[in-house]
Amino acid sequence: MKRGLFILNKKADSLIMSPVLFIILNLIVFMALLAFVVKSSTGAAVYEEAYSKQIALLLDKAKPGMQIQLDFEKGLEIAEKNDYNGKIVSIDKESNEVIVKLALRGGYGFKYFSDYDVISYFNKNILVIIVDEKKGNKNAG
Amino acid sequence: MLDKIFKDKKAGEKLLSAWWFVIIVIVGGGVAVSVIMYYSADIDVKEVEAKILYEKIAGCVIQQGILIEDIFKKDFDIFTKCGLSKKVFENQDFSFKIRVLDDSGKLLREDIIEGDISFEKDCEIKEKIQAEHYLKCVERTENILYYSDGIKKGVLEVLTASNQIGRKIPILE
Repeated sequence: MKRGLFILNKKADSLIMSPVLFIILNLIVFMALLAFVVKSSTGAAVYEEAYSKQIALLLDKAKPGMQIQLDFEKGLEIAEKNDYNGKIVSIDKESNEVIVKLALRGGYGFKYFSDYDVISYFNKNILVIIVDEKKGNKNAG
Repeated sequence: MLDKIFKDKKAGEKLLSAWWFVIIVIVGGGVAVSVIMYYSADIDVKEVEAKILYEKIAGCVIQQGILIEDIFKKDFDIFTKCGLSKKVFENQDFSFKIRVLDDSGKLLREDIIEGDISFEKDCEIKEKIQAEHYLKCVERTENILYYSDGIKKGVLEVLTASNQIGRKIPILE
């Protein structure tokens, strides 16, 4: 076989190409798997559910006159990552439901059984919830 | 080993065989399914809710170890008194039953049952079987004092349950 300066050894080339291709494909597959696992674990859905349940339980446990402060840093970070500028936490007093949205689409709603007047707002990364007695209900204890 | 991989052409060809892709699909699919199952699983707070509901009711009808006198009134409204939302209980996500007994076990007033009227039976079933997506119950008995021609001893039995499943807001909503 004649070998020129720029003509590579075909046999040697194919010998090296197989394992290189094998390693590259493996890396691609496992990187994709890792990316999927990371995306799933830090996804909006998990945090929406966790935050809405946490807030609903805090409201259930609360007593009138309380002010609750909840660290919402991770939630705000996810909402920012998802380019979501809408209302993150809504407390629907009609249906007694806490709705948390960290992305434009989807969200999670969870009900609470307390019947209080609730006001919520953000103070930097802290969600402030003010629980007050419902107007016209002086008996609640 | 490395020497063999890099020099043995046959071995190299074998590495990229269709079987390897089958293995990758199985492993990758397994990991993906496991992750989806793990992260789509509900965070179960039913028992915590039932406990909070019990604490709320008990803390409201017992004050300093003495049962409030209002509970014996015919027009006693537990929702107003304890700051509970009636409409949430009408949806049957939460239920409770309150029994007030004297020390001989005689009922001092009719039971207060709100929420799902069949929840007591469900709680009994739950004690016997293991069910994942089922209501969770909390039952507690408190020794109390109450006023009735002087202070007397009595018992307050409270059974609470939660069967709330959260609501995932559809992507199209």
